[in-house]
Amino acid sequence: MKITLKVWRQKNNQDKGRFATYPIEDVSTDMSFLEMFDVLNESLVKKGEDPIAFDHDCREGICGMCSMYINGRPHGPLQTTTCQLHMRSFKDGETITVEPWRASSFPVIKDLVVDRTSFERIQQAGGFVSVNTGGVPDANEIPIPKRIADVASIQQRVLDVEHVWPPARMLQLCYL
Amino acid sequence: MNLDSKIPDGPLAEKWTKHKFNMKLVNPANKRKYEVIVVGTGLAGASAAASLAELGYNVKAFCFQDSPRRAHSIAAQGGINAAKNYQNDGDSVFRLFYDTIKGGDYRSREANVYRLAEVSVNIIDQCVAQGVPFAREYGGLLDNRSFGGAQVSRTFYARGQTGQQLLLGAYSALNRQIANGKVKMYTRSEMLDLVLVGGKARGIITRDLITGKIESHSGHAVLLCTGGYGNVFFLSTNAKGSNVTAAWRAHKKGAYFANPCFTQIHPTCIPVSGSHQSKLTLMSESLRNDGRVWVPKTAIKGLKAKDAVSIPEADRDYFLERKYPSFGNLVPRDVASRNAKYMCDEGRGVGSGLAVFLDFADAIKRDGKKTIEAKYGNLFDMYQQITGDNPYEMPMMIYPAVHYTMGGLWVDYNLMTSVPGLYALGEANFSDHGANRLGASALMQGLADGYFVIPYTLGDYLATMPYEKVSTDRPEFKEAIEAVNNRISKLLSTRGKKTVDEFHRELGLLMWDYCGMSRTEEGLKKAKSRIQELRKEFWENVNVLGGGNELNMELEKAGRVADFMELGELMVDDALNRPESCGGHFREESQTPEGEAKRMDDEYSFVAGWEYTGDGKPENLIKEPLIFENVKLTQRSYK
Ligand SMILES: Cc1cc2nc3c(=O)[nH]c(=O)nc-3n(C[C@H](O)[C@H](O)[C@H](O)COP(=O)(O)OP(=O)(O)OC[C@H]3O[C@@H](n4cnc5c(N)ncnc54)[C@H](O)[C@@H]3O)c2cc1C
Ligand code: FES
Repeated sequence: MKITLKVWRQKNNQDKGRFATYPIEDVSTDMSFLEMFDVLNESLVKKGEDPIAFDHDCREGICGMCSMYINGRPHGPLQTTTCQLHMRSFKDGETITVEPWRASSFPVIKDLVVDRTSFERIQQAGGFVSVNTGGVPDANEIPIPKRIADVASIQQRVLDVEHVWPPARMLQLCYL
Repeated sequence: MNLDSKIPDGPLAEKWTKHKFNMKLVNPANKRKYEVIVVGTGLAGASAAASLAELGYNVKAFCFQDSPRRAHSIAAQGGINAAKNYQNDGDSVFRLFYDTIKGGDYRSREANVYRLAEVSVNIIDQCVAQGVPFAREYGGLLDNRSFGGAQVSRTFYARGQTGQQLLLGAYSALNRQIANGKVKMYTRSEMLDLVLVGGKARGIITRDLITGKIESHSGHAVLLCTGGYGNVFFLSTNAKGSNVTAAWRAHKKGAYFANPCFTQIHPTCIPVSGSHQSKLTLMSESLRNDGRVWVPKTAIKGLKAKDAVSIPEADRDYFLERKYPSFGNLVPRDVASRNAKYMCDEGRGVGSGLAVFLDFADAIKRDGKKTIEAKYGNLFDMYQQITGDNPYEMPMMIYPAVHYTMGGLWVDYNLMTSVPGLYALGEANFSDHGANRLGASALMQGLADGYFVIPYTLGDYLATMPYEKVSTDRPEFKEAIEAVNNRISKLLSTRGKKTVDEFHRELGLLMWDYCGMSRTEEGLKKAKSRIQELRKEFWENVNVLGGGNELNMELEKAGRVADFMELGELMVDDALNRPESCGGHFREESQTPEGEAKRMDDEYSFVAGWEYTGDGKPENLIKEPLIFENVKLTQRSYK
């Protein structure tokens, strides 16, 4: 399929930024959204143009590193992460707009990469569990009903931002 | 130079306890006078950094992602082993030890593995105390499953997200110490060199990935917890950023690299879909508990999953069940992977030809869709998302992929490398898995190293060190900075014609074809000369745009790929040097009449430690003999 990408380009935090348009031919429906970016970036490098910076790591939908804002929605049209979005979710000929997450607490670093260290500070403000290594009771000493454990282990995803916080363990500890 | 493993004397079961008593201690009031550098904050690094800070040491920790909670450890799905014997099914510390030694095909140290099994029980207690939501039974006690060929149920799990939950636990412990001011965390920071002062590891050079600033950090000891090097194959199940750079730079500064050719290929991954493929996705091994692996008895070209449903039982070959009646679909990873390859080599592969089926139809019939959904729901969803096929209605397609590296920096019993004061923890070291790792043991090892081994063994070393800090103004730091800068300028000024990814893909293909699931002398020799050519070409023809003083992801990749090329050649040398087959290292020249891996215990029962001798020069091989006093070496058999 063919698509047109409208991507936010911003050299650094000081730069004003602008949209750039890239028509892409030969997109396979089996490609992930990030693989489509890989192909585009490789072609940009070949042309001597700066590739588009974007965050990613696991590409399995679990690390929370990928962070694109696609067609006006975080991670695009599906209830999933950008790395798990595939091109089959788009129509041939479609124009897709990709922006960084714009929020004053997430300043843009470059192109689609934003600074999310504000998240770190939330847990560091006291959202941790205060046990030291060693000297803890046997794991089976305190039974926890399956019902509670199940709720606690449901994957926590707040798709608007990213994978977030461990309310899971909080829930379980509240029960303790 | 000898490789002294420093294994304590005495009976196996008493070694660790005695050693803990014999090690020197640092007085609680003096701990704050020491600064420890921890590179990498995945399970191994985060648990180490938090535990050391709790003890009172000052810690500086580094990771290249924007947060410790992104580390590759987060992707671990299946679970973590521990010899709790909660199921009363005959497990014990000795059995976990025995299984791990046997599973590693007798290429790991007895003493290390026994300690690992011993502290495994503490890990579960620790994680539960942190609130890790492990799966539970209706009575409220912890649930276990059997995993990856184990004949007891000793695997603890949190749905298919065990790594995530464990990492969030360790991360929370780390954040507590960051908030306390005991850990200073440097995110988006990449270690690019190790600094030795007086022959001891005393610091590192890093690059701030946002500003490009090159920085020096000094400390009394350096811990590398930087993960595995599976991405040398380009396509692997590892996170895209996983790399060997920190370990490799340390290697070039004197740390021996052990058993680099021991890599693990995981049997249940989603097959490659095209040339755009950027990574491979693992489907947890736990799927093999209920899924049945098969191919058609006679080749059917381009067979699709949806058409497989109508193939009658009689025309299917459940090849693992047929060849290994007692273990069936649960044979170890290397055996399952190799057999899938054989089926595809015979032309009986499905889909693109490089895939086999993993079928849940019988399990769904037996246990109901609900039960299967509760066990594997998220994995099924992930599979459907990626492939577009619904595994509740048709079999999955799977193919082996590179998954884990057993090789790594050589460490002694105290986890110290051959450079004094430099330690390696987690997947970055070679220590416990021999030639093949059992499922659910990497998480166990990373956390054992970080929570329960290093807090003891590091003190033994620091107790001998003066409190004085070394200044980063010393010439050793300046020289290292200059070398790092030169390398970056070289990468940026080449402006050749090929992209970093093109080189990486080519390297990966060479490694996969010649140093992957099966290896021959001829193939390895071919790979060696091709890698040398590729490396030369890289430095003449790579194209890295942009500058050094900005966020430049191509530059980051280029540095990592350059190191992978050097490592790749060493892996090939190591594989050439080991004409036996063992575990994941299958040399076609050395098989049993049944086609299984045949070891040569008389000659090759050793750890291969490689010493760097200079750019472009062959590395020195130093052998650490493996001595088995508590297990009898047998030919692995899973019939
Ligand atoms: C898909 C998948 C599923 C798995 N499932 C299981 C399972 O079910 N059970 C099991 O036991 N094991 C499993 N494993 C294996 C296991 O997850 C890993 O071996 C383990 O998590 C490695 O942990 P680690 O702490 O050693 O390294 P990692 O988690 O890889 O952490 C490495 C750290 O080092 C940092 N780093 C690396 N290089 C540098 C540098 N140069 N400078 C600064 N920082 C650096 C990174 O930022 C990161 O913080 C799985 C692996 C994969 C790929
Ligand atoms: S890259 Fe990890 S969640 Fe998308």
